Amino acid sequence: MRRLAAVWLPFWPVERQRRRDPARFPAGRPAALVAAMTGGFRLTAVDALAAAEGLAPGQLATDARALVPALVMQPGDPAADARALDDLLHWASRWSPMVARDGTDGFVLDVGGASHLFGGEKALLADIGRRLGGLGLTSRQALAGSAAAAAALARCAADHCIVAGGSAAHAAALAPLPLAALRLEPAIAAALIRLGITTIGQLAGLPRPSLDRRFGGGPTQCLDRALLRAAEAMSWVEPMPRFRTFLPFAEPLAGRAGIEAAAARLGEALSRLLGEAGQGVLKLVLQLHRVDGARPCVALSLIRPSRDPVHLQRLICPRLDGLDIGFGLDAMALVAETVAPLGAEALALGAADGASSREALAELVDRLSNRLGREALACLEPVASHRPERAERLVSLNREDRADREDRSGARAEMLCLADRGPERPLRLLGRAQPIEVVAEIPEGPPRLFRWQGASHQVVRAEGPERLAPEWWRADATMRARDYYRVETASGGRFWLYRDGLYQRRGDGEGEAPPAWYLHGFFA
Amino acid sequence: MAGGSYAERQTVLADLRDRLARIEAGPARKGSTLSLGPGLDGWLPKGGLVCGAVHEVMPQERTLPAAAMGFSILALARLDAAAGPILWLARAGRGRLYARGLVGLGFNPGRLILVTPSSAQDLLWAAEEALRCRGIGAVVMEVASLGLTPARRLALAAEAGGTLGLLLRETAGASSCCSRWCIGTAPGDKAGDWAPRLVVALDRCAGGPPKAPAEMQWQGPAEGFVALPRPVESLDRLARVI
Repeated sequence: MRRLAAVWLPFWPVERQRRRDPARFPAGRPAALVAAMTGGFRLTAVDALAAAEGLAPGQLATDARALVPALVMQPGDPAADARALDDLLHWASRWSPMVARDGTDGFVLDVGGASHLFGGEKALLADIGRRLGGLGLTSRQALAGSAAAAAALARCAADHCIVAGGSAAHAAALAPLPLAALRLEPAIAAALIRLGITTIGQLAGLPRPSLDRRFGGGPTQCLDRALLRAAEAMSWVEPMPRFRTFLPFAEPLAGRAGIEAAAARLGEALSRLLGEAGQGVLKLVLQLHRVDGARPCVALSLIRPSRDPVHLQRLICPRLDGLDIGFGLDAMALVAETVAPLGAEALALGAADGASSREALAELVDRLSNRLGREALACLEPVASHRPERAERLVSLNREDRADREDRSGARAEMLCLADRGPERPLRLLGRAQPIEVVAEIPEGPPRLFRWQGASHQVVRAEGPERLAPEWWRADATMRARDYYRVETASGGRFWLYRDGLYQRRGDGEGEAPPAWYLHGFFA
Repeated sequence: MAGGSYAERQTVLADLRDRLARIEAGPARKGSTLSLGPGLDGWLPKGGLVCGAVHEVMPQERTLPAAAMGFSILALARLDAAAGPILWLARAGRGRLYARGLVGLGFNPGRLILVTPSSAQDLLWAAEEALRCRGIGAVVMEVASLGLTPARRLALAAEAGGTLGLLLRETAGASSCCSRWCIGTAPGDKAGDWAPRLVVALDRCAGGPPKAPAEMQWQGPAEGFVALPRPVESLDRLARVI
């Protein structure tokens, strides 16, 4: 049976801004947020004191001021509220990894199988309330078998309401609640209230066919979901990780050695989990729950699936440098985000030498890319272009999709075949061709002498030209036709030079810059 | 033992030499030497570049590093592909290896892993990690200069992993390398083909004498470097030609 805890933050926008900037909200004075709407400025959110004075969102700001002269009014920021709620959801994953946003001012946790970790459902709700209170947030919680029921109870029933049992128990618990708790479409809710239906119990008592005929399927669906008669779909903030280990601490942990030891324990536990399922991890996330509510993460990626705790530990430890852990951590979690099958034989001791050296190579690549950055490791990949600087590119080694890697080795083989037939290419290509001064016997001919980096080189022999035309099918075709020459100087140095642009007959291509010479690469 | 015959003593000595060599070389996992071809193998006491050690390759002219790079690529083209991929630690912003050019030299670019660390410190760290790794065939490091302590660390790492290390450096300096090669370019035959032709000098070599510059012709990965009959007396002569 599912158990869902709903948490409602009735004064979230005001309390969020107060937490961020206490100076703007003097203590002891009721506060509200306002925004320009039809008819002037209206309240969008109030705090506990203002609510006690009878103010509510939607009221005109001038009316509110008249009613409560001490009211503090500040501009609201719904976008920032939503962003902050997302952060809060991540923080709430300390109770359960399955967290879903619930409206703009609450969230739902799937705590089935998790509540015993916190001393039972009652203690769990109390813990949620206490910790949110510690952040300066007023909250109301409820726990039920469906998210809709829990959310309705959190908003409209007594605090810390817990409903156990099946559909009948839920129907009994929800019956006295006002219709608004179901959060129907406003038009339908207004119509129902006009008909005198004000509580959920009254709605449940109506005959279903006539309800469906009059209002469409909406109200009955809402009711079915709340009363466990229909399944409800949840969109969790993070997909439920299959492999996750979590370690809460009794005291905040701040020392580097302690964090490393905790990471090692998490790694061992995760490795056991993965071993039972015959899986290895490709993407790993270490989540650090800070005492102040922030949750920095360390994401690691592996080139081959692994579940070796020693290897995982060696990857994690260097990444802990320079991580801001604030005033300490009160929990850590290690999540295997992407996994791939990894048989037991791959880990067996005394495996064939080839297998173990492949393993060693994969571990080396992981270590290098995690310290130097993913972009630092690359291999060369051919590109279908005859423009030399574009004909191949560096691709990162760490691609998750393995099928793509297979394709690439095929593409490489193709490149080998091409190069066997094609003209010679230099060993080293300059990232940007360097301009040189050239003396040639005839303008269209190969160079006799060129100056590069202050030294002049006499050309002994030259091969060419190899003419490369611009790729007209590209929108950014700024390239002019190039004539490439391979030249050897008197000292034996071999260079790849090109003339950018062609000599035109008089009348053609007027206004074009005259051809220029460049050095583009070196041969061995 | 003292009364043994000459043949017996020779056997014992050979056995001892063999054991000493094994102790010095450490566990040889990936083949103990890399043959460079008939022209250069005779220069080296072990008949090839010792794996599990770091070798320096320097350009004759600082402005033309392509020759030293080409020598390294050609040497690695003779390395057994089963030894594992080749890690090339490049310095940022100095052009890049061109795969089609490598193919032209008979080197499969698919064997290369290019690493571009952002600092010299990271480069040395990565080099040490890679040299210790059993799954890597060879490590090529491009450095501007190198102190004695890092050089020694690299040598120890190479010994521990049994990996061949090639150090491409621009200028000579303190060194604890197994051998140091100085590579220049040689003009080819006017009518001849464009096969790489290098002036190779062995400046220092552990356990053997240095060798004066000689012209070497590359005959493809199967054969390697072959000495040209025409020896080079001095590089000054070449300099005068320029």
